[in-house]
Amino acid sequence: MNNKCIAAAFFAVGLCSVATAQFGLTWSAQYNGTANGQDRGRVVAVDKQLNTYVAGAAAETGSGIDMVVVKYSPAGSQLWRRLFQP
Amino acid sequence: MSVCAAIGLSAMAAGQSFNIDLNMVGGSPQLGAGTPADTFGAAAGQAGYWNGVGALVGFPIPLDDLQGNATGATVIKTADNPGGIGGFNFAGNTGDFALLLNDAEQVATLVDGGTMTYTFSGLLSGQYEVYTYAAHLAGLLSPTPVFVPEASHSNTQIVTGPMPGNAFQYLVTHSIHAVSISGGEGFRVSITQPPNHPQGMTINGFQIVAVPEPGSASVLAFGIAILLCRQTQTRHRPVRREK
Repeated sequence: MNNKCIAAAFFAVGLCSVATAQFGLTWSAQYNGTANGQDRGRVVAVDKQLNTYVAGAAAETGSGIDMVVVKYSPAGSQLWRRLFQP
Repeated sequence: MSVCAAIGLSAMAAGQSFNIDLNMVGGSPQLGAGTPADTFGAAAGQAGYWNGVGALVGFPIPLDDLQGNATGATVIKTADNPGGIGGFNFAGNTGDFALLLNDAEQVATLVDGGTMTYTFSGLLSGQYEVYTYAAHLAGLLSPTPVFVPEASHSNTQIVTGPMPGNAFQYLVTHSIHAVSISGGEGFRVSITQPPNHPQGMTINGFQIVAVPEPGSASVLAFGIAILLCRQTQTRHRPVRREK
C-alpha cells in the first residue's frame, strides 16, 4: 500500500486520508475541535510504522484557535491529539 | 367498531421512531460518507428517513422522524476525549450497509481513552427498543460495552464485531435495549473505552423503535376483531327475496 496522505479543509473539520496505490481511499478521518468551529489541517507526515500525523489549527472551547497535532494509526484510528496555545 | 380501530391506531402512533447514522461528511460512499436510503430497514427492519449526525459534540442535534418531519427530539453527544468521525474502506459491506457501518464515531483516542455519551431527549412517552450499532468500522474484533442506564434490563451489552459483511447480527454488529419513556424524560447510551486500547471502539449509528404498548395493541386487536366479525356477518346474511 502506497501511503499518501492528503490534508484538506472540510468545512469545520480537518480531513486526512490514506490512499492505496490505485488511489482508492483506505480510510478517512475527521477532527472536530471542541468549539465546533472551523478547523484546518495544514501539514501531514507519515512515519515508518505507517502512522499518520496531521498538524493544523482547531477551534477549542475556552481557548480560541489552538494549534493541534493528531496522530492516526495505520487503520485510521485517532491515537492521540495534543493542543498548543499560541 | 371503527371508533375502536381509530382508538387503537391513535394509541399505536404514540412514541416516535428514528433512524440515525453517525455520518462522515465528505468522502466516498464506500468509506461510509452519506446516509442510507429510506428503504433500508437495517437490523430493526425499520425503513424510513435516516438522520445524518456528524462530529458535533456538546450541541443538541434535532432529529427528524421516519417521514423526514421535524420533531422535538434531540440527541446531544458528550465526551471527555472524543476521537472524531472516520470512515474505512471495509470491502465486506456495500451499498446501504457501507453507508451505515463503514463510517463511525471513535469513542475516544486510543492512548488516552474516555467515555462517549449520547443523550436522547424530547421523545414522546412510550416503550422503545434502542438499537446501537457498535461494530468496529475496520472490521476488527473489538468488544464494546454499550451501557444504557435507563434500560429495563440488560443495561450493559457487549457488541464484539467483526462485521460479517452486508449482514447484521445481534451482539456482533449491534445491541438492543428496551427503554420506557414517560413525562418527557430521555435516555442515555454510554460507552467507555479504557486507555491504551489496541484498536479502539466505534459507534456507527442508532435505530430507535417505538414499540406498541400491550394495552394499545389489544385495543387495536379488539377493533380489528369487531371489524372482521361484522364483515363475516354481512357475507352470511341471508338474502331477502322480494315477492
